[in-house]
Amino acid sequence: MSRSFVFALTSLFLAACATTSFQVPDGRLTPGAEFTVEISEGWAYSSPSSDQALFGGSATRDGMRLNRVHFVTLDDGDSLIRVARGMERPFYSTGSSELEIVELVTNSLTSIGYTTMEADNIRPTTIDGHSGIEFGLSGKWENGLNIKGDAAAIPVGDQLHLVVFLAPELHYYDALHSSVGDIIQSMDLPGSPAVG
Amino acid sequence: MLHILKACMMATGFALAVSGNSQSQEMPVEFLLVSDADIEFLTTRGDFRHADWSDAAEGNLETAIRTELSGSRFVLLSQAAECFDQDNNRQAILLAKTIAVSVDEPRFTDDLEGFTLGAGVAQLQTCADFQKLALISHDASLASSGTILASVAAAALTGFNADRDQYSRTRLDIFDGRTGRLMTHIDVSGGDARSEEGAARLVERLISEWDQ
Repeated sequence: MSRSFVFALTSLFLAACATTSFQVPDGRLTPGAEFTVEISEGWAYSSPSSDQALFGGSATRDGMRLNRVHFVTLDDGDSLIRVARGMERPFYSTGSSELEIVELVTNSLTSIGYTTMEADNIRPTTIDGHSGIEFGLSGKWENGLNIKGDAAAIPVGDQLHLVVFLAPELHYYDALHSSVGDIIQSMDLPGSPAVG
Repeated sequence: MLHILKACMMATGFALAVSGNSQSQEMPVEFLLVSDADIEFLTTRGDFRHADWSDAAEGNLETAIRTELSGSRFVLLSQAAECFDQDNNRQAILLAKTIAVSVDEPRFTDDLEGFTLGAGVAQLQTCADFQKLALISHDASLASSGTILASVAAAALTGFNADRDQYSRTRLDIFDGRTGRLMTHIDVSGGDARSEEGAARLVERLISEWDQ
């Protein structure tokens, strides 16, 4: 993918998000995915239709460049990112291993302007009674700014429910990491909790 | 902290642009000045390409703001490059640039709460002891008249209109040198920083809005 195309794509999606965000009150939100989350005051939510690079909805406190939490539910064969027809992109397959899910997230982010995106601290988790994984993210935005993040990926049936948080390493990640952890833990997923 | 600044000056081999006479150098540095320009041009295919004017525009803006702030004591980031090129310092400047663009969102322009360099400002203070960081940034997307004509003719098919997608925006962001918090954000649309005169007019507009 050419650098200019990536720049145009990311500029478009950031600009679109910038103009369509709206404040959400405290409370439970259906964030453009097939699950709900509890969002505290101060977050602004952008609907899926306003995001030109990623499928799903997203929330931010200080603008998408400074912090964003992305919410999406992927069906078998879905992609996390929107790209022009013919461009390569990773797809989710039902039954993917934990590491394949991690690579789906890191490779997708690398395709939309983040560079050297890597996962760390991959660990099992249980959210709303369903087993999944959580992991950390680190990389750079295309201008060289160090980015850190967190992700939670919970497969349920044929679907994968994803929350991805990204923010500059300097100040913003630490400032919001705990609040985003609460959002992740508040996920209310469809379907009966897995036994076990 | 001034001795660190002087050591930095000697280490880099630059005569830092601290204005005024030798007596004023004993006063604290009022501004750390950062200028940044990103000019791109639109091709007939709708691609954005980085333009070679960016460096010249940065220099023009720097010259203009030095003139406008001639009564202040300041350090130019570009003249202490060795210190500021260290990755942790560069990260603080990149964050400042990212904040400047983020504040442009309409819902933030009247509420600067939450915009801060955080610990990044302490990193920068290891290079120079300053009271405020002033970032002047210029983004522009330009198209030739030929590209505009071609894009208008093809707009019905491609949806790309080079005339509509042209823009120019210049911002002045001032951060507190102790807390890192964003104190002031001013932006103006239009203008052209590729010439010295154009950059001077842009900086004059920013400073006059700041004075109000």
